[in-house]
Amino acid sequence: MSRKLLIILISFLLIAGIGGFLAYRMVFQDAPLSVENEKADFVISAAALVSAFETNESQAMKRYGGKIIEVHGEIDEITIKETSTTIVLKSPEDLFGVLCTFDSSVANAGSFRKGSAITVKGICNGYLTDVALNKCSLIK
Amino acid sequence: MKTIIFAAILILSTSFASAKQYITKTGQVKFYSHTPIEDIEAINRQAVGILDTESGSMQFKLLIRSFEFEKALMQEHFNENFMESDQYPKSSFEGSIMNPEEIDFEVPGTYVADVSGNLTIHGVTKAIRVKGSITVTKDELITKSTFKVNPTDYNISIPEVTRKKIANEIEVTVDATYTR
Repeated sequence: MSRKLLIILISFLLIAGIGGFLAYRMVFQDAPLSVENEKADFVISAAALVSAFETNESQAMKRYGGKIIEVHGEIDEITIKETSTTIVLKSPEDLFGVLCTFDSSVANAGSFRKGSAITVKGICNGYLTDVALNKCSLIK
Repeated sequence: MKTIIFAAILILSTSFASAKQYITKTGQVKFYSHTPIEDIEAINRQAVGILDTESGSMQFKLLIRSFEFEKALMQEHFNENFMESDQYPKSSFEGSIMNPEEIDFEVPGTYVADVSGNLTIHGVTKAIRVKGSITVTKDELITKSTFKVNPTDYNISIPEVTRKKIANEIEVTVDATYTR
């Protein structure tokens, strides 16, 4: 009896395990990367993020590259295209800011105003003229 | 140092409109790999482009991590295994228009551009020469080009298990719009 129960239990766990793994793959890995429902790895101001890359780019890349960043700052530039909306958050560096790309499906993109304060969550890709974040979602 | 040069270019181009230098931060670079097993596509919408209509120089810079894939797992493999994007976070192109006499940036129309320069991917720089188009309108300059890149030329090694899913030649499409 106990052996039979054990077999049933093991097969149940095995099925649940495989099912869970497949579900995980289907939901998280076969789907596009999305951070909307994920917790941010770092919460930081646009100024501090730019300064980290400006001071030591490779070190900042190790720390922030590929990570989910929640960043707050003031909107300096807005570019609206068919497939995406891009904003640049100001930093004291003046020339460099934080570039945030939103998919066109993002609601409120039309309500972005230059000079207004904003908090955005996205994946940090590194540093070109600006620190670049994509897959962005609006926090507030 | 590079940042300072870039900053200098930015300052110059924004403060002297007469310098005829145009900048975009939202250039698009797509790549497409076709095999009988799988088609893979990725798009980068954060490419920085600098076009100098006077000297005919053309530059692009992009972050490897900015490429967006249909599947998160592919994106992870691309960054971690193939491109090693923490070690080589950027890719760039620096070139010149070889047929400037055939392009009039003041007259609206679409022109064929012959561009030659150095493409850097995965830390390896190669000379390339590609054909593209430049469309001049009243408010915009639109540059487009499609060319092939062979990953092995840039020391990108693809593991045996995934080799059948990735084409030997990757089609790259560049599409950058400059506001004038």
